[in-house]
Amino acid sequence: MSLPGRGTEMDRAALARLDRHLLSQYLDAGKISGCVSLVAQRGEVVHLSALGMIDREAGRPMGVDSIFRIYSMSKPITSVAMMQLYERGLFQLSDPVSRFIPQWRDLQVLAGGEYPEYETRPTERPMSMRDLLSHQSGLTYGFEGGPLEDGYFKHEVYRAGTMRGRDLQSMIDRMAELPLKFSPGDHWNYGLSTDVCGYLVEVISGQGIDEYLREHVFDPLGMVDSGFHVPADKHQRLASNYELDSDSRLQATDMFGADEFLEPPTFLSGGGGMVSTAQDYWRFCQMMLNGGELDGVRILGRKTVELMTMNHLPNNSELTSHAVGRWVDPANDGIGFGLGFAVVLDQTRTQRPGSVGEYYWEGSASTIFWIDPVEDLIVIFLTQFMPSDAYPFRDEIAQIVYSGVVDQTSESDSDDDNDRR
Amino acid sequence: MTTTVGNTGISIDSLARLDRHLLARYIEPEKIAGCLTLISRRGEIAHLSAMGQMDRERGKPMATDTIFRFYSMTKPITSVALMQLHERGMFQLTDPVSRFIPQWRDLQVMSHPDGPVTETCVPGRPMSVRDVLSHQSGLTYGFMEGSLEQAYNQADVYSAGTMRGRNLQSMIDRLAELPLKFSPGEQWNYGVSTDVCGYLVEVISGQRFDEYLEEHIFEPLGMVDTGFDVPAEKISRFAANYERGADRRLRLMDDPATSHYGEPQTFFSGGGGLVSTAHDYHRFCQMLLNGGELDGARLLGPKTIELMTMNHLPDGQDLSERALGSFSETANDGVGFGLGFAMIVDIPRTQNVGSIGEYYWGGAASTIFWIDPAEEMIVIFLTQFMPSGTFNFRGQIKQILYPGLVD
Repeated sequence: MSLPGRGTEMDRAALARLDRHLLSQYLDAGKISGCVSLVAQRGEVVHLSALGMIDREAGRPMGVDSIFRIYSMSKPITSVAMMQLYERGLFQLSDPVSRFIPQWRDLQVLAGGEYPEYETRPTERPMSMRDLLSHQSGLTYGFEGGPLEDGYFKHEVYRAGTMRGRDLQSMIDRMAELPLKFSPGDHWNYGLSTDVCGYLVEVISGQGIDEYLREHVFDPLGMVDSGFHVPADKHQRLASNYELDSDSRLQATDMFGADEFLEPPTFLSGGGGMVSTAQDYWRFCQMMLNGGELDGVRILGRKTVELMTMNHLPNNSELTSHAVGRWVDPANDGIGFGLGFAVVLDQTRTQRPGSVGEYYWEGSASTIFWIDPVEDLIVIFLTQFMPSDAYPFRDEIAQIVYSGVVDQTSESDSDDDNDRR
Repeated sequence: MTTTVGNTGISIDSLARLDRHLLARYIEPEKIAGCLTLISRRGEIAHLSAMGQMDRERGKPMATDTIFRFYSMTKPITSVALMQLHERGMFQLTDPVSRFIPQWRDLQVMSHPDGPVTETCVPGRPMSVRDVLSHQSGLTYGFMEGSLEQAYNQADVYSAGTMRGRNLQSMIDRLAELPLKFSPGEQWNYGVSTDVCGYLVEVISGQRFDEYLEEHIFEPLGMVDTGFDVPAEKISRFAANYERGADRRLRLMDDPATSHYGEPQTFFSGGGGLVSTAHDYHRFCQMLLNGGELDGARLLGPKTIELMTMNHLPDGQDLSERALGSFSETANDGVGFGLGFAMIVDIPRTQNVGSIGEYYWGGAASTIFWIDPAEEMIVIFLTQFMPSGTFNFRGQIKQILYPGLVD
């Protein structure tokens, strides 16, 4: 564990304030059981703090090496895997997905009706690889309300907690029997797109997504505690997951099954199936922030990282104008979307301290991270509490952490320029 | 650590992967006969790779000094020539072209770009010199689709390879009899505009176009193998040109031994007439990347190159909003156009890795180049295969090469 100091310019008082805030507002108040926060600046971890309990019932304290269900924070990892294959020239972003999933050649768009009696129309254009990487595919999630979402649920395309025995191919097959929510590219909608990316990694690489990630991402980056399940010798390090009971008191939840993540899954969800630690996820983020490389190991090229973290919504639009459903939310003002990450476009619209070009995502157990290339900063906050929109962790942590960014970065910028000569 | 080539910051692995890709996907399946790739960064050549054959019929391997038909990669050179005269104050970009071509004073425009050639009206404004430098003139090419294009063919305005005995003046005279496709500035359309630029160089400089280029560009830059014909002593270095036959196999289109390039030309096509080599064209590109100078020879000032590589389409629009026809040497999304070059204005819209401000063009025999000022990089890929839209060399080379830029 590194301590604040060498070469970094983060105000320790702000980091202490962050711990006090989390303790007094969340832990002492019994709103969450425990959390780990990690702040890294200029390649160095300046803050790593474990607070509260990993398991309230057993009275075991949170550790800095606790393992968390990162759910949708799996998506950036799966997107990086896809872009590694892209770098090998194995597909173009504009390629139709049906190049790799032939039974999707004639996908239709929902025009009306209820499951299973849908009215459909043809798509305006085929779904492309970029559509999947940027959630513009027209796919959706079964847990959101709506006629198509209802069909996803009833047709059992994907249901968290019920996937034992199923595999990615079965999801692809069932999707082939349902329409899309909109014609690809017309909107942004959160959905199973990244699970399809995981499937495509398997088809294109010829490896299982778990093996692929082990060989090409986790092992090279030293992400020793990341994967699709927690092996038996590490079960004690897996944090319990919580929700509120009807009296607004914390209770452990096993809504996705008591053995979730304890046994190797048969359904390898690139969209939400991974566990990780603060240290592992920091190594992933630092690789991105370094332009694709960490400790001499190259995962992606710098230009590919640049491409992934640009806004890929049409006409540089924001989620609030391009998304449908609950993603049209003031919380997404000033936010665009790239290949696997949300991207900050306009801070006067996000109404939160930070930088233009920051990229991030989150998981449904209230885990968050962001990477700020301007301030050379990574922030990771891990807890296990569902649902993820109960508490404004991202805003509050940004407010406190950025209050501690006190130096000017101009001096180090000019050093970088000299290095590049 | 990643091993890079010299001080170029390009990983050796990515260059090896690029060669393997071209070999496995194009050379071995005989989709093209051969190719030559040159990549330089920070003024240093990182990669010069000749693969396959330059002449299958004679079993001659591709060589690093092979001479290629550059076709539309002539256009950036012609544009530089015209801008040299601009730097001497000989014209303004806003000048009407009729200042130098009086018989074009009353050019008409088609009432509708797809309508009959006989229905015409007066253009909204006269054609300017910038319009011909940026393909916003209303001129077109006879090989594209449309009624005006048919009229170009009937009037025999210009057709590559059939111009023996003709000169630039005869093209200008025939164009005077035909309407424009649209009112100047209203659209972007690929056409004979850059051939008109070559003619303007003749009129303004008082030198024949080939002589002007020799004295003001090829000689100062040491482009010793660039010109409108291939001299007899170099014919053995001249590649054969191929197309795809009905059986989808390579078919010889132009045999170097019988090619019209072996004869001195009379029509000096600034839009597509030059032959050149990877080394020569690299010197031209390096001059541009250096801000107009190479090895002590200054061809243009840096501010002129800045002006040429800015997007000159109105209101910062891209080609997808401005281009009329479907044919040119570029995809349109996220791409603007300057004075002789296309450039990247929006990366996500291009759906590929790259840099804002990259400028480039290509030629009809599938030759491509680009200059990336942000990465200080030049890429030249040469083959001889028509037509140029068949394979996505630019996209694939970018996709494999850019991940290799590790510092």
